[in-house]
Amino acid sequence: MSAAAARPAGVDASPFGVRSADGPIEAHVVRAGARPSLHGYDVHRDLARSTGSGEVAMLALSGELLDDASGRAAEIALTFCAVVSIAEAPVHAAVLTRRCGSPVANGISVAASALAEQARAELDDHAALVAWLEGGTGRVPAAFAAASTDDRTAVDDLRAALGDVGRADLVPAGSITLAAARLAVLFRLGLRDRDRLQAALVVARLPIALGEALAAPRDLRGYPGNLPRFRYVEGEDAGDGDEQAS
Amino acid sequence: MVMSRRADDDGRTITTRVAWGGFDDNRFRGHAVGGELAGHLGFWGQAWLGVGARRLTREEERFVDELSTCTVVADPRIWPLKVTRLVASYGRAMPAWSAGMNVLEGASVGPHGAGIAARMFQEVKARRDAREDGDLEAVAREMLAERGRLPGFGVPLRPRDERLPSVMAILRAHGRSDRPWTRLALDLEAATLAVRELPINVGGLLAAVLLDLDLSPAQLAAVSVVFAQTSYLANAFEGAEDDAPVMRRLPEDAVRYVGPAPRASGRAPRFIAPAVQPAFEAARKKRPA
Repeated sequence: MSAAAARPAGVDASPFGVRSADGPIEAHVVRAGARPSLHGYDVHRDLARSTGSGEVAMLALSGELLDDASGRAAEIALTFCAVVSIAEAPVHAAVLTRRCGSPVANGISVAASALAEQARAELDDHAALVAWLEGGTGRVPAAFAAASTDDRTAVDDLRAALGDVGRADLVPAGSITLAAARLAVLFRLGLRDRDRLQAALVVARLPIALGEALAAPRDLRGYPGNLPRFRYVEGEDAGDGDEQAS
Repeated sequence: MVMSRRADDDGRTITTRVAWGGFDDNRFRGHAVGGELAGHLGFWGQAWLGVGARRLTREEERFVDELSTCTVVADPRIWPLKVTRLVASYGRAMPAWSAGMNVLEGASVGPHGAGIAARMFQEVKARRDAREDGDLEAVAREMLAERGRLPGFGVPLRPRDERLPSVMAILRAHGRSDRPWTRLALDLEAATLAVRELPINVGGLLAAVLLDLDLSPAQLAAVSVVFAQTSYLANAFEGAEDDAPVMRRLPEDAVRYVGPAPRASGRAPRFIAPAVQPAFEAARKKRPA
């Protein structure tokens, strides 16, 4: 039988029709309904009464509910991950969206997509760390050793905060940057691949980015348009050709 | 072939008039892509069909194509394009492009406002037609008094929209400067300028031109954004190709903090910075035992 003759006739004779299932679509995490559950745990009567939002995020991403101490450790780690300032592109973009008079939904989508790109770049920079964590042995790779006093102080603060809940062990021993330390903590708490680590960074940072955006006026007056400055050049070589002053 | 609504629709089937993908050809808005449209319809014709409008003639497509070039302003400092640049600084063009696009709907800047201008022109026409004297200046005064400004009028950061002369040249070359909505928009500008210094901008004029090409306000709001795509493409592409750390993070001295002064929660006793220690002690004293 020829390929043409084998194809069913009629309005649904489309590769997007005959080769697509009619459903159902599988849900792996949430059972919806009057008694919704998240990875099997009753949301209203169990999780809402016993866990914080950080622990709920960890459960959603990892599939496992942490014990009390580890749950508290996750909240601490996510808080250490959360800070993003207007100096950083995602928050700047969200604030600028707000200042353009856009509805808040636009700002939320801009912030989320920018934070996703930032997290992707951060995980790219820490690919060797994740590989080391997956291997589970040896010292922290030298590339992730703390190089500044501020970094060392911040990691000390992280260790001390985790120590308060008996989980200082989650931070790798030795010199380590804050960025690497908090990824290591989240990895050891169950986010065992870069996709989940990336998602956790966005979840942690989104409220902060939105808070900064919502604090901004819905007005472009006073916005520093030359920050940073752009310099327009023509021709192949940036040193040649006409240059337009900004 | 048109997707038909089933008489016994159980609420799980969505009727679409956009397209159907076939094994031998695809359908787009009621036309065979390979069998009918290829070689006979260009990009702008696709855009008109895409939003459910009529099929453009080839001359109309050429006109819109020339118009689109006049409207290009891709300076990366333009605010939605700067959003594109900020997101592109992490190295990928498509998320940057879509982030910049996400600024637009409902924003006070950008091409999407052409839909609002189109509705305003419809209201202007209705008000003028309702007046015995047909006095457009009176209509302009009324509407400015009610709203403060008119969508499609006024130009940020400069006295005139520098794109208008080339747009007008294209309109005249194609014999379109006296079409009904375009004429109304230009007459409204003259009437408005008699009241206040509020020249028409390219978005406003484009709204009128697209009404003359039989788009509804909702359709032209969507199509107007297509005019900006090469500006987004250029900035997304260059932004992603460039390594510009300053776009990812501004230097410290570029930020001035104007939020609350340091304060303590009173809940974390051991690690309080010296700057907030007095505030922490005060908070602790206030807490009930």
